[in-house]
Amino acid sequence: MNFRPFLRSTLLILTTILPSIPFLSCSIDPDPGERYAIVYGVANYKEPITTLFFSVNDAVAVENLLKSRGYPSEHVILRTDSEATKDHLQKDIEDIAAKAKADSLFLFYFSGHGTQRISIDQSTHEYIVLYDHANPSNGIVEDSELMRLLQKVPSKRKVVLLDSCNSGGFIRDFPGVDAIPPDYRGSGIDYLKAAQKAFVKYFANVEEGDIPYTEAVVIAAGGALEPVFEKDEINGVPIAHGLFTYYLLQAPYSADRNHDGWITTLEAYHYIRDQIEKNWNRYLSSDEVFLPRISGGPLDLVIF
Amino acid sequence: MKIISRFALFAILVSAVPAFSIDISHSLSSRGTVVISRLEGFDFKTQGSNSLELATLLEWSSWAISGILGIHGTEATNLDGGWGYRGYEGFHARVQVEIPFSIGGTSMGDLSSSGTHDKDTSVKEKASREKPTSGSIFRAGWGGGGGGFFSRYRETDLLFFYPSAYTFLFLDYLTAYPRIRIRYSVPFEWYFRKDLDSSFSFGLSIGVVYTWTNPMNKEGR
Repeated sequence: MNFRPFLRSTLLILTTILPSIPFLSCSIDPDPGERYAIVYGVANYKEPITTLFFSVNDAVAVENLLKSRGYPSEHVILRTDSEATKDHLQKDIEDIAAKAKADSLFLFYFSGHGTQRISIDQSTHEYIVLYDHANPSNGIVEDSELMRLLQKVPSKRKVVLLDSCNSGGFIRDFPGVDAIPPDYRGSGIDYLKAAQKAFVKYFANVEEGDIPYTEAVVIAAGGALEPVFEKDEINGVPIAHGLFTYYLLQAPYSADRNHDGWITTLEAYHYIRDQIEKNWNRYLSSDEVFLPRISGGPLDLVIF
Repeated sequence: MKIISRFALFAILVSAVPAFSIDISHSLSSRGTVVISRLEGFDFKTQGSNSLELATLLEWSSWAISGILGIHGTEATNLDGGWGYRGYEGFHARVQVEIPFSIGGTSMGDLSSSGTHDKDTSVKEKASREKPTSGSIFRAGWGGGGGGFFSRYRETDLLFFYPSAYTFLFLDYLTAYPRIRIRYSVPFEWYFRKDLDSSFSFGLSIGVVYTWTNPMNKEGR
C-alpha cells in the first residue's frame, strides 16, 4: 500500500476537521428573556461614616442602563440612601421572588460601603453596609445572609454586582481558585499557589460560606481585603462614579468581545478589570490598587 | 539490608528488560474533541476542544504503556437562552495502557496488506519497524487510562483541577519508514469535574509515533 494517500488524508483531516471543531460553538439566541433587578446605592448614611459622593449616582445610572438594555421598568427596583435598608431589601426580594420564574434572570446591584469582620472563631465575614449601619439588624447584610435572601428567588440565573470594599469576600473560592490573592496590593498573581490550592480543595471537598457559583455569578469590585475607590475625574476625564461602576456603564458599548450585541458576566468582568488595570492601577502606588473578582464556576450569563 | 534488597530489585528489573524487548517511542499528536457538559438546572451544551500531546511509550510485545503531557483549550459554548458554559485552557498529564485486538491468542490487530502470514505477529511487527519494506501494515487496538487536568477559565485567573478516565480505539499505520507510524485514535473521556454535574468528550486524535529501538533488542539480529 502506498504511503502517500494516507499522508494526504492525514494532512486533510488535520487541516480541516480538527481546527473546525471549536467553531461548533456558535451563538444561537442569547436573549436572556424575562429580567428582574434590584439596585441599591447609599452615599448618605444615617450615622456619620466615611463620606461617599457617588454611590447614588452609581445606582441611578445602573438603573437607567438596565432599562435601556431591555429590563422592563416595572421589573427594576431602585433604592437609594434612606430607602436602602435591610427591611426593604428583604421585601423587594420577596416581591421579585413571587414574580420571577426559573428561567428568568435576576440581577442585584449595590454601591456603597463594604466591610470585613473577624468572628470569635477567627472566621471572616464580609458585609455590605446599608443606610442604618449603626443598627446591625437593619443596616448590614452579611455574605451568607445575602446568599439566603438570593435563595428565595426561583431564577436559575442570578447575578450580583457589588461596588464596595472587601466585596470579593462574597465569592466562594471553590471550585475555581483565584490566582489573584485576596489582597492584590503588593503581591502579584500566583498561579502555582492557586494550582496547589485547587488540587487540595478538589479532594478535600471543602464547603465554605459565601455565595457559591451555583447560587449566583458574583462580580465584585475588589478582593476580600481590598478597598475600592470612587473618583470625580481621572486625568481630566470626568467620572463621578465608583471606578467599577464607571466601567460597568461602558460595558454595553465596549465589552462585547464576540460582537453579538449582548454582554455576558465574563465580558463585563474582563472589560472592567482591563480598564481598571490600564487607567488606575498602572498610575498608583501599591496601596491603592485593586482588581475586580468574579465567581469561579462554569456559568457565563448574559446580563444586558 | 534494605540497600541490598533495593539493589537486587533493580538488578532484576534491568536484567528483565531484554527479555521483554522493550522499545521506547515518542509521539506527538493533535486531538480534536467535542465536550458535552451539564450543570444541574441547566441543559447539556457542547464545546469544541483541541489539545496537543507529547507522549513517551514503553512498548513490549504488542502492549504499551504511555506517559503523556499536553496542553488543551476548550471554547465556550453558545449563549442560547442567555447563558453558556465558560471556555477554559490549561495543561494535563495522562497515563494509559494500550492493547492490540486479539482473538484466541492470535493478534488480529495486524491487518496485513502485504500478504505475509507470520505466526509470530510481534516478530513481524518488529521486522516491519527494523527494515524498510515495500508493503505496509495496519495495527488496531484499544486502550484506557486516566489523567489530571489543571485548567483556567478564560478571561479570568481562576484555576481548577479535575481528573479524568478514558478509553480509546486506535489504528496504527506502519509506514514504509521503519521507525515511523501514524496513529489515528478515537477517544471517549469522562471528566470528574466538581463544577459540573457531568462532562465528557469524544473525538479524533491523529499523531506521529517515532520508535527509538532499544539497543539491547538489537542483540542477536
